[in-house]
Amino acid sequence: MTDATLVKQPRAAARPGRFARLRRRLLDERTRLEWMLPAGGIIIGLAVAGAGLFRPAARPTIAVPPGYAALVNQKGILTSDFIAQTQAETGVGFNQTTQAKRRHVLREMIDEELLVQRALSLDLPETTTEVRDAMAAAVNAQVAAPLLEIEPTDEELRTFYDRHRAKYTIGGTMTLRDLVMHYGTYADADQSLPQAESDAAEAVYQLRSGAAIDYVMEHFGFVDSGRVSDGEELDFAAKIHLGAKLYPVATALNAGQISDPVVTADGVHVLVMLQRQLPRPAPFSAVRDQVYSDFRAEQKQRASEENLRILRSQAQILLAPGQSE
Amino acid sequence: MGGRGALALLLGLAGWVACAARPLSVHAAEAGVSYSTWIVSSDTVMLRFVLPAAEANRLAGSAIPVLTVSKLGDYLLEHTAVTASGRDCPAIDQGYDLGRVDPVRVGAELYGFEIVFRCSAPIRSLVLENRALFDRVPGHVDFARIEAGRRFTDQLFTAGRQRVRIPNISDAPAASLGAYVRLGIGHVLRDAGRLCFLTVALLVVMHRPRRILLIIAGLVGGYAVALAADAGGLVVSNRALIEAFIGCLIALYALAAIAPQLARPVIATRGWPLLLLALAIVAAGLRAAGPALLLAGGGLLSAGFLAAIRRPGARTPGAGASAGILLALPAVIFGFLDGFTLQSLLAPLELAFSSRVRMAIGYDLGALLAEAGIFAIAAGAVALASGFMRAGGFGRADGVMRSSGLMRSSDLMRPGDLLAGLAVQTAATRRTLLEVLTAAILAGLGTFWLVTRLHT
Amino acid sequence: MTSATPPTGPPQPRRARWPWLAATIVLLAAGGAALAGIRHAQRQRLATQLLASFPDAVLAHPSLVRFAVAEARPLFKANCAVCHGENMHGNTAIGAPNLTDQVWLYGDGTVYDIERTILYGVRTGLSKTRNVTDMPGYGLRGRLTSGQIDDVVQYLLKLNDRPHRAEAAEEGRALYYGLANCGDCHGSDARGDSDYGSPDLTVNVWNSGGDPQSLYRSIYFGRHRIMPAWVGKLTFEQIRALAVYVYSESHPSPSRETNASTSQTASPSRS
Repeated sequence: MTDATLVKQPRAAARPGRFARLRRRLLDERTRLEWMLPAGGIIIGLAVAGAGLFRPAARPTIAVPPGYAALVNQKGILTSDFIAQTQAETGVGFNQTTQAKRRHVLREMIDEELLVQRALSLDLPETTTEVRDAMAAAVNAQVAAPLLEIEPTDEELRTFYDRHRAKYTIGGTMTLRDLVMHYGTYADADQSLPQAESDAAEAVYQLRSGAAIDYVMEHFGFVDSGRVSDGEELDFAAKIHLGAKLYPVATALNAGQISDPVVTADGVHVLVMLQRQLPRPAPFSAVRDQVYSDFRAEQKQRASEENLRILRSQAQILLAPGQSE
Repeated sequence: MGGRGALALLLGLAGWVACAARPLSVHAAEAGVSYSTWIVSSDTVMLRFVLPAAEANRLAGSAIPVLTVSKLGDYLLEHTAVTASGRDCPAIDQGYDLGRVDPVRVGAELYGFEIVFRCSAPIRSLVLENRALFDRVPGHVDFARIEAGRRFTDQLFTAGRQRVRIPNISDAPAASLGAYVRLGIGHVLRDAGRLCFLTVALLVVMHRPRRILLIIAGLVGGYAVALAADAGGLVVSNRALIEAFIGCLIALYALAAIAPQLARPVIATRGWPLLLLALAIVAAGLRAAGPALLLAGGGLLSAGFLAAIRRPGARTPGAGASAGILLALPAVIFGFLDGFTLQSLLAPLELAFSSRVRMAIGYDLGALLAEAGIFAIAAGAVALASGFMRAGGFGRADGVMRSSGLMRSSDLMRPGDLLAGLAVQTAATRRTLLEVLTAAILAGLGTFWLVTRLHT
Repeated sequence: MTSATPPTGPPQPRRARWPWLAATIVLLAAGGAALAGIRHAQRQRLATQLLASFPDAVLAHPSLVRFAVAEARPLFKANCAVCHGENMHGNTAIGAPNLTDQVWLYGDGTVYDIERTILYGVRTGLSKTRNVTDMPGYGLRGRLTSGQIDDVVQYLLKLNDRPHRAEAAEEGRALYYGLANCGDCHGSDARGDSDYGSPDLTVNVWNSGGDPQSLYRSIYFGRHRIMPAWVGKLTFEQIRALAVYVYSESHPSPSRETNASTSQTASPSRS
């Protein structure tokens, strides 16, 4: 006879622990779909949105990069420039300069950089004429630099000379007298312009008829204007003395000719050409230097114009109503 | 008119409100902010004033009819002053045809001006006065930095604090923590977006009051992480996109509240994420990388979130502890994003690390206090109202939303029944009609803000 | 008695080989990446050292010189050989100098000087470019006649111990110090001035050709050669490497350490 109670009963299966339950739950495919897909969506969504909302903060450089002697507000001063500046200021090789001198030069360069940055901050290119002029000149110089490499040939210079022949002259002198009848001044209060013109016309007639200059001057009240000297004057000097109105009249006269009356602000003038040596075209060989300089200047001018044409084609330029250029 | 009619009406309401909500599109990014740096040397104070163009444009009108740089400079000259040891320090002509106010180039969409005040004697104590813009924009804030010697301190000019006294220039005091706390409180109370988020968050959890604590905890966590990230200086935020994403969070919370009310919740739970993804594709096509990423991320987040809180087999959507924790996720995100508000505001002003951290702590603390306060007040008000309605006998009415549409016109006419209609709850979700309408309106607002702020 | 039969049972699955193959590939890839990473780090270190040193101090480190030469060779071929030739012997047709003859137009041929010329070029319009003087066109400008120019050419030939016409050379000498005033730039000893970029006329090295006809053209038309500036087009590291490379090619002597200590103050090498 056996006692059932003494028979060893098999141990009941242990209840899985919490971790095991959670693990089983996570591994359950249904649970995975329930939680992991939405969780993945949330995490990926946050990451993608974060990429759009934030960007890495810019790290200012705290170490001077190689090749630079200093950084000023993240703007570098090249070691090469520092060496060049030191040598230029001291006149000796860099290795022969003292530390004190190098420090002084670097300090000057840093000061200059600070001033340049300050100028940009103050927008000086916008407000200061000198700065604007210097910047424009620098751009023109840079544009013209490649053209200097092209050496003009003889033919090109001659062609240029032929095209501008009138500009290259030799000689040209005149000896003349500039007679003026004043009007309307205190001394000539009774002389009006129409009267002066009429008198001047009569005087011209008499001069052309052979009357002496002194007689005409005394009879009609002309005086020497004082603009030209008594002797021979070169054309360019006469141009300066006579002015823009009288000079063309003078150049049209040959020796012995009398001009018509010319009214100017200070009176009615009559020019008497005594002697005239017309300007001669200068031979190419004599003005070659000037031709070369003018040729180069024209090259630079054309380069500058071409540069501006390109800049304009890329720019949006709007003019206010009523404005034109 | 059944559930479909209700849906149509809800959507219509949401759309109408969205269109009408344009004037409400004011957010923290458009709040008045300017920056002033006061550099004190022996007998001069140089003021460098930086003004965002948006702020400057507010002056056009009665203050400055036609806004030009010179007029803006003159305005600033009139509204700033320095007094040292009781004597006025006049602004000096800076020479070289600069005048007394010198415009400086400080960056895109920013106006910069420099004014030099010269005092008659070496400066020992100072009173700095800044009255610019406060008359036009009462909520305007000027973040100031005072440099004396090699010391930098931060200060604040507000409508209530237009003068800053510095008794000893060698030990200039910084603005107190309380000033930034007040700033943070004002930031929440004056911003429609923040208020709407708090409203919709309250809607989601109002039937389980303990979850309010979860929301607040989420906000605290979010602000804390933002503070850590800002202190680390690792990332820089895009303010406009953050405001847009807050709109997305508002809409997301609102949809989490509305979806169970719909006859076909899948329209909201899948339709909204798909809409965002479609907009992301459009943004990508327009080569707007930031908005595209934001929309795509928002779509994935929304899909995951809405699916997670509506797990099949749950008794009610949002039931269970895990779902409760999940409901706090948008709050964490909101807290994190809002925590970067001050960082983006302070970007033009280079402040010391300790100052920035102190300012951020005060600002975030103020925002949290305001948010917790709003929750507390709103929860209390809702509890009172619920108690009142229960006492008035407005009980449940099963299937009202389905059988009668919203309400019959005859019901609307009877005074007592209007309140009854608003207080009607559905059997399945226990949400009142008022809550549903509010959520619908906020969904529309959030969507509107999301789209319009992405455009900017 | 029955023979023992092997036990039957389900067939044992073969052990999969693909995990080993995948692991091998991953290991190889990882090793390659590691090697590339190490080489990159090494290269970065050398590049930093190359640029961090003063230009001529690089020569004291053979490893840096080797690195610079290796970096610069393809750069020279791509950017400089078009003018200076792949063998660096120059091109008289365009006036590109021979870089191996130790005769320098600007500076003393130190790494610093070479680097400076590469950085800012010659007559590029930049403010730091080499551009103190030009060779004027005496014939173009009409300052000297053709015969006079020819006399000057004869004088130059005489200076370089080359066959010349004695009488014309004497005339040319008078012109050199007189009407043409060549000594103003080239020096009274005709040895040039590397500060100005005026060549030494006594070393028989001619950028634009040393035959009488070429010399005649140089004097008649003048020379305004341009070397482009490479700042902004090449990195500073690349420019430094090129400078070291050009220096090393022009100084084939093995004792670079000796040259490094004297190169900063060395006078121009004259052949």
